[in-house]
Amino acid sequence: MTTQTSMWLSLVLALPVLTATQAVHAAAAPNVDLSGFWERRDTQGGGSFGGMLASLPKAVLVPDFVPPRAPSTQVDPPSTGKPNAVGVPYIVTTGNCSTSASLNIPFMMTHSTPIDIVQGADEILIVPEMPGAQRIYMDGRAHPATGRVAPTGLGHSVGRWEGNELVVHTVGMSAGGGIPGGGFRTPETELTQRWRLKEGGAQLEVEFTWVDPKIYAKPHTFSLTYFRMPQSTYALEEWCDSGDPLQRQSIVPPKQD
Amino acid sequence: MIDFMAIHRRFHDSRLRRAAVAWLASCLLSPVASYAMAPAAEAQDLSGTWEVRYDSQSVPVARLTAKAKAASAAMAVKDIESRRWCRIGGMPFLMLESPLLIIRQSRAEIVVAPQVQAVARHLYTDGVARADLKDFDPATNGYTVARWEGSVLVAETSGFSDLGIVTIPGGGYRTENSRLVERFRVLDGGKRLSVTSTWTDPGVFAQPHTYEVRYYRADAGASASAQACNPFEAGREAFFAPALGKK
Amino acid sequence: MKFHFAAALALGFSGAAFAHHSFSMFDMDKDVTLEGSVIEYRFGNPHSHIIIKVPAGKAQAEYAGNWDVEGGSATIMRRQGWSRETFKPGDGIKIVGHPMRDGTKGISLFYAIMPDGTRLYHDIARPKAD
Repeated sequence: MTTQTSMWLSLVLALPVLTATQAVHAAAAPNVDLSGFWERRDTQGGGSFGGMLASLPKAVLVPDFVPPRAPSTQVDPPSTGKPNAVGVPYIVTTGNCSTSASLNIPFMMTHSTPIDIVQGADEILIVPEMPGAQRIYMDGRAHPATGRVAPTGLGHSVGRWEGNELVVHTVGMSAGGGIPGGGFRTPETELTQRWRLKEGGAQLEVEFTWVDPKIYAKPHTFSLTYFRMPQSTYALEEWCDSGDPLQRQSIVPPKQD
Repeated sequence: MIDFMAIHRRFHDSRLRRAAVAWLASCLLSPVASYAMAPAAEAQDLSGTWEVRYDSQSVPVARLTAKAKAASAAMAVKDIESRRWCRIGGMPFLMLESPLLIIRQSRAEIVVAPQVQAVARHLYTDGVARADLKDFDPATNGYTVARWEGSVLVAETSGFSDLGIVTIPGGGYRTENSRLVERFRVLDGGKRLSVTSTWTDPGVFAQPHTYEVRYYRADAGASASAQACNPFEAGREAFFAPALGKK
Repeated sequence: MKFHFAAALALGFSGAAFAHHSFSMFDMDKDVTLEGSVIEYRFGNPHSHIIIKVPAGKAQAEYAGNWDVEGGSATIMRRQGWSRETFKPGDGIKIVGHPMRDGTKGISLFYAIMPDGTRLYHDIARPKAD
């Protein structure tokens, strides 16, 4: 065997090893960086914030489904037919704006304030402008055994890359509603999110699929699109105070001349 | 039987050879390219889950102005009121009272996410000019820009609000005039993280107030999640009443 | 079953931006334009409010009077270009919003029309497509 032949033989034998190394590298850290600030926008003319979600597919619930008992912060003013007197505020919430009311999926993802994504190789953080952050473990760990961890609004999320698509699986969410299309979640509900960049990285599409045979007659799937914000974006802070009476109220009928 | 000589001959006069050379070059150079994208030559990776333990804090007594001494008791009560209502705590509460801090960094910023009732901090390291702070509302975390000085991350914060939990360890409290400089250093081969904080505020401190917190790197498997706080949970008001001087 | 489905729809449609806030008292499908002057401008949390005076006149006789215009949080409105200095008492103002169902002079802000004709939205929602 000549020297040249030996060299090429070595190269050919090394190919599978080098290729496998590349493949492992790609699976761990693909050529996709989701890091940065992202915000929702109304590209279809929803008419109001609620209108933006109205066009999403409706959840098909199992017959006779009873929504879980979960605290709601919304209060509908009594329909007395009589307007409030001047200076008497319309009460529209319980006043609870704490993490017990707002730190959950999907609220964090459907809010109109941006999310900030910090992508690391072994963990991805989704950071809202309110307390808390969703941790997506990318290190191959499994979900904790059911019953070992108390359900939380964000649950427990693990992710993996499928090519350039981030697939996130979440379990262990506390009971609640507010899922676009009229869905609910309980600690038994599973959520799969598929995160993919579009438009050369200017947009991020997140497809949500909610599965729970006790709630949904079929998996409830919808997508939300986020728009990349400039790198100079500052995170703001959404201050709220559950002890502030203003937190509970909306319109105060003004004094007339 | 594989004809290696035939493969060799084809390599000599084919596009396959050029492609193979390009592929080999990309394999060899990709780590170099990745390194070139790192923020600074001596920048450290602070990423991890960091734990506060009983021996984590080295806090001297702050030298306060007369005005601050007089206001301290009222500020302490204000903080209890904030805890009772699950208000956003802010700085420096989150750096001291979160059992675990999650730190992750991208090319543009370092995020410090606490488990407690506080918003995550954003330490911008990209040097990109951002809008003037006067265009923003004061925040419990303030607004932070950071830079690497060798292997030390120096973070400067201003734009604080006086809301939330305002007490500063050693004495004093956060106001809209407060400024904070922190120096983050990785110690002991990455097992510890030292954060030295220096607060200045002409209305509160007679001289800059400096203290250090040394965090322990937590088990990589730690699945810390944010703690929910419910201001309307049963018995909460009664629980806090004595501390607030209420019956 | 009907009740449960209605409840589900209501939760699904409720604005996530206002997850803490019921909007049942506003007619969110109706847009009303008010033009007048600013009496008070409160930019802040949890919601910004603008008290405006709409003068009596043929063009908007049915709307004449003082109104409470409710916007979003300072955080949300800043992203759309609002600030503490956007309005001050005495300024002229023209807004489009969703009025209250019970006839109270209260309205949920959709957007302001600035003197140069540009729209300053209060949130990320935009008008319905034609």
